[in-house]
Amino acid sequence: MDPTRPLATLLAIAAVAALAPAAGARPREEGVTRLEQAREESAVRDRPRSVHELPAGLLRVSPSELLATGGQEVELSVTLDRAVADGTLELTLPERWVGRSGVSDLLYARVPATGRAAGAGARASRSGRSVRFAFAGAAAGASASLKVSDVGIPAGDYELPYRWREAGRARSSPGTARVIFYAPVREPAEGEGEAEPEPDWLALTRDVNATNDTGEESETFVSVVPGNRLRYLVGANTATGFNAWITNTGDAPFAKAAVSATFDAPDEGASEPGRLCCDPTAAADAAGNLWYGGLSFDNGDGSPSRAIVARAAPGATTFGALTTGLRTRTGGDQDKPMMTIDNSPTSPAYGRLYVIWDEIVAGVNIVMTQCDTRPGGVLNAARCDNADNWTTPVSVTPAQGGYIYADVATGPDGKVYVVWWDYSALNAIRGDVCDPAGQNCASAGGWGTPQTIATLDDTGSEPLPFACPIVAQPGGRASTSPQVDVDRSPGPNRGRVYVTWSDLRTASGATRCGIDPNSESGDGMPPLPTHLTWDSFVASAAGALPGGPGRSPTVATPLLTDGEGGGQANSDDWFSWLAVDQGTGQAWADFYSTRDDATRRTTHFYVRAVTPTADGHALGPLHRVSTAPTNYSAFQCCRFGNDYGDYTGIDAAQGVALPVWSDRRPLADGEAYVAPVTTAIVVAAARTIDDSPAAGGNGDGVLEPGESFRLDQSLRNVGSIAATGVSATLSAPAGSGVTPTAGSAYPDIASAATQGNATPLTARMAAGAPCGAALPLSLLVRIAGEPAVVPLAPIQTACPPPPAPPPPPVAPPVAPPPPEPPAPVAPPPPAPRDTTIVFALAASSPQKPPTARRGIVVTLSCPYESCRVAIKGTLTIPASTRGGAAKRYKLPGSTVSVPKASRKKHTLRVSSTLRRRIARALRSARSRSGVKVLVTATARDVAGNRSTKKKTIRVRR
Amino acid sequence: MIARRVVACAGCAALAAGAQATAAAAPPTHAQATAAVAPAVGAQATAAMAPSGAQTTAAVAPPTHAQATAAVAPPTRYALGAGELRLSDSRLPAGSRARLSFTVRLHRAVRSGRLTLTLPRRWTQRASPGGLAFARLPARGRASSSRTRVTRDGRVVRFTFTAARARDSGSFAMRDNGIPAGSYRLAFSWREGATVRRRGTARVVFAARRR
Repeated sequence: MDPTRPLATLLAIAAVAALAPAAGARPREEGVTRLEQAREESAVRDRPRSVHELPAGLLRVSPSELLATGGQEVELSVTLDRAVADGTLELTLPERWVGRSGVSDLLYARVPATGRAAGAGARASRSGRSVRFAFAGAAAGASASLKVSDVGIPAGDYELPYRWREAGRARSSPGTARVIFYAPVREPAEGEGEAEPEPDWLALTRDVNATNDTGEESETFVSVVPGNRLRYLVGANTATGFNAWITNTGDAPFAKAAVSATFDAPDEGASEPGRLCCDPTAAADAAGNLWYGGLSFDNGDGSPSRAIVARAAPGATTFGALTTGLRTRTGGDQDKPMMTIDNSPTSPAYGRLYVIWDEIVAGVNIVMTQCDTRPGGVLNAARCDNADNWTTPVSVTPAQGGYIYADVATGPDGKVYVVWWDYSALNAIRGDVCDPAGQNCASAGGWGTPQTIATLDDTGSEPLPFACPIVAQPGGRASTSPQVDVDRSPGPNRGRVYVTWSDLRTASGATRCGIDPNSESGDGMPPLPTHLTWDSFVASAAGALPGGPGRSPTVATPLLTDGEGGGQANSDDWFSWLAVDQGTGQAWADFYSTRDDATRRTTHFYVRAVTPTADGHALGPLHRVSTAPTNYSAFQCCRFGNDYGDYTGIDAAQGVALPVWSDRRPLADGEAYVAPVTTAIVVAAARTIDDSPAAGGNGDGVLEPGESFRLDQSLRNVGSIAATGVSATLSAPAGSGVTPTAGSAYPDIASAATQGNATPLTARMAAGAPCGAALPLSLLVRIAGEPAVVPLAPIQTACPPPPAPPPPPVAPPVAPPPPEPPAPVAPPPPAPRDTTIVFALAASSPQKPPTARRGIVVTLSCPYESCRVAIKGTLTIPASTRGGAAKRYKLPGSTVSVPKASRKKHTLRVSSTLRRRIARALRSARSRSGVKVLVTATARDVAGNRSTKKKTIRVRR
Repeated sequence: MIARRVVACAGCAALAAGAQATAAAAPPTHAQATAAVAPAVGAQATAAMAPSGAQTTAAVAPPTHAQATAAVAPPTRYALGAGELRLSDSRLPAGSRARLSFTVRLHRAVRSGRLTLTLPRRWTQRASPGGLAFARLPARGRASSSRTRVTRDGRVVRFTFTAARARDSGSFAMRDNGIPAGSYRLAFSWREGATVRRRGTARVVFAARRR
């Protein structure tokens, strides 16, 4: 060995090590800070090395850590530090890197067949997964490299085994390089990744006139760039043309961006003259692209009615010269488009735009089209400026009917959720789901049977009126206006689907709104203060459309209870909309309300946080964001005048909610207003449970009836301003038998900071409380007097061993009685047959991946009698490719004897083969969440009674 | 969408007129925009009231911008030989609880005649869940004299004429209660004595609503 080589190696490693903190010290470099954030979120402790020592040089993997966002390169290079006559480094690439997506058939990476070389005798080549760096008669300093271009490698921890071979020398021991693609955190931490200095959000807590002109605007919408709450778009129906208002500073002035009336039409070489109308909708991606959707009428010259989309490129405040006219299936009218974009890097449809609308012929179908902005995993937003790249619309509804108000949203797994209002006698909010991981959502076969989310008011055995003039909105457009959004944040409610809508409150008035079409005047039922009033609702469910066939009040939570907080006892609260802050996971809803006006003529606009709880939703404080009332009540009745329009909007990012509304305050014309809502939002962070004897427990780490315990629960402020005056008490579901005994104050919690409770939170579990299950607890928090509910991770409870039977009474020593003559004695009644066995199976979920010494651990107990428990385990490993079937493996079973009233831990061992498969599955973003072990335990007692319990344990990295 | 309406019903035509009146206070609505290029808004309404004769009485002027996708309303009159079947409207806005009536009026005396009209199945059903009826359908209709009887049994409406005179008539009126938007076919047959003299299919469109 060259005696200088170890020194050179050390210097090289030191140089690389020195570079790392230097890179990390550049806080304004977006890649660096986002990478650090992603690394922190991933909780990876064993970071991969960039430099690997070889017998004749160094293997460099640069970078060895990067974001899974596509468009980056990983360079593999070998540099010799001595002459090599005949040596080869063989390196094996991960299978995924040379494969294609099973969904789109697109490459995950571009890997050339040959690399680059410097110095004579060096060569780099690839065949399949195998990369060869060959050196023949090469001198010291010769190098060979090969670059892998990531075009959509899924987030994961990848291993690249390698082996150095050199003629005439003993084979070196093999090594393994690692490259980690971190799932990006879409919302950079506050203050990071933004070009502009942060505005004073407290000063911005006021309403801002975004449109601020002399025309009438109404029917508003808003969309914020994920990770950059300073850049957003406000849309509205306008008096002339079709316009949006864009800001890059989070505040006025907004740049008015006109949508071009010249369309790029599908399958046509020439542009198409459109006839712009209305119906604003919008979407944004993390790169800063803003898409603005709307409608164009049939122009009478052969250009049909179309849904349209215009794009403002990152940083731009204008739209392109050509607007994209989307495909149509029929010559009928298109109406009420809504759009969204799949912004989840973990989704198989990451970057896909969806636009949905009503296709009107005689009846209606809800139709949807889509376009990929990240073909091959590389961002190419301009691709969807070309109408040809949008799919032919597919009907989401199975047959024509009376549908309107379709909306679309995507989940973190790419599932596409659609909701709409069926205004026929079905009288319901309905919806459907398509999973692009297994279905083609651009074909009718990808959509299942619609399901009912809520059944609406049917006072008088009539469906909810299609047109509903009310005092505040006399034109007749007040309606149910359903809408959907999904939590894609990394928070505890990731995957939760929220739906909001409005409904007439049964029995809230003596008359009901409606327009009689057979009436000559068209206003059969003018707006009256005696009409039923509108309520707005929210329902949510984890990973599925919420609700069911029940009425709105039975399947959902009202966003405002009439009379709440001193409001009017019977107010109209309608046009609700909801957005989930995809950084914090906090949902926000907004709506118009007449709660401040006994005459129900004027409205204010309201916003509040929505947090799911075990039995519904906790609502945050009611924020009135409009500083002046809006009054459209003098507008003409019943002719579908535009007044407020048909809906409104909200978006949220980085702890700030951004509601938008139609505002016509005194002496002003109709405008679109926004008001950033800044608040402190706390979520649960680390916790410690103490059930030691000092706390009133038995110290076994599990809660049991009769025990008291202490909880130290840290809270993290994910909101945009500091949380002050914080206090909290524990809350447990009714019937759980858990009673809080002491709450605690918290120090002030700065934005993005975490604080622990000042004194322990304590509670007692009653002696007879139900046990053996996970207990869903929550914290009732007050921040500056405002209540909030913070869900906590469930706490496992266990049933205590039964008390030992009392010892048999000791008979006093007495003289034996005189013998009695034997008497015929009836045989004792047969003892009641014992047909039960009480048995508990407990295990934590998730558990760490099994190793040679660590298996899947379960706890068994038979409190009342000894038992033998037969245990079986079934390991499920999802397919790592789309469309593949999950594989199941049986783990070796065994039988365990469990003494009476004791707990016994048992470990299910996992073979080395299965451990490798588990490790592989856990590295794949597609399969890592589905690795599970189903444990089936059957206990038997001496009488032969049996009891079987099952538990599913998730295996997590 | 800004104000729009189905143009082929009388009520909606009235709505359209109202929409224009709104213009002073509101931004230009679609109805207004339509009016600028569609002078024939009223033409269709006129067509619906045209004198009967052929089954194609509902033929209308070429579609204007507003009508281009609304399509032509189906006929409202169908000749029966001894009279005619007339629909009060053949294109109604869905979800508006519109009234719809079917009237049979004789041109000449008929000793024994019967028109059988079969309603679409959906109209006689109830929605699930919720249980709302899609339409309000009476069991009997109205008659101009005791020589005429109008009855409904399930989907079948019968207009029965016995020793009837010219100008005798019977009508059956129903109300939409949430019939899904779409185009519906109603088969009918006119029988005199034991002979079927005329068969046909009437068409009614419950037109989807726009906003």
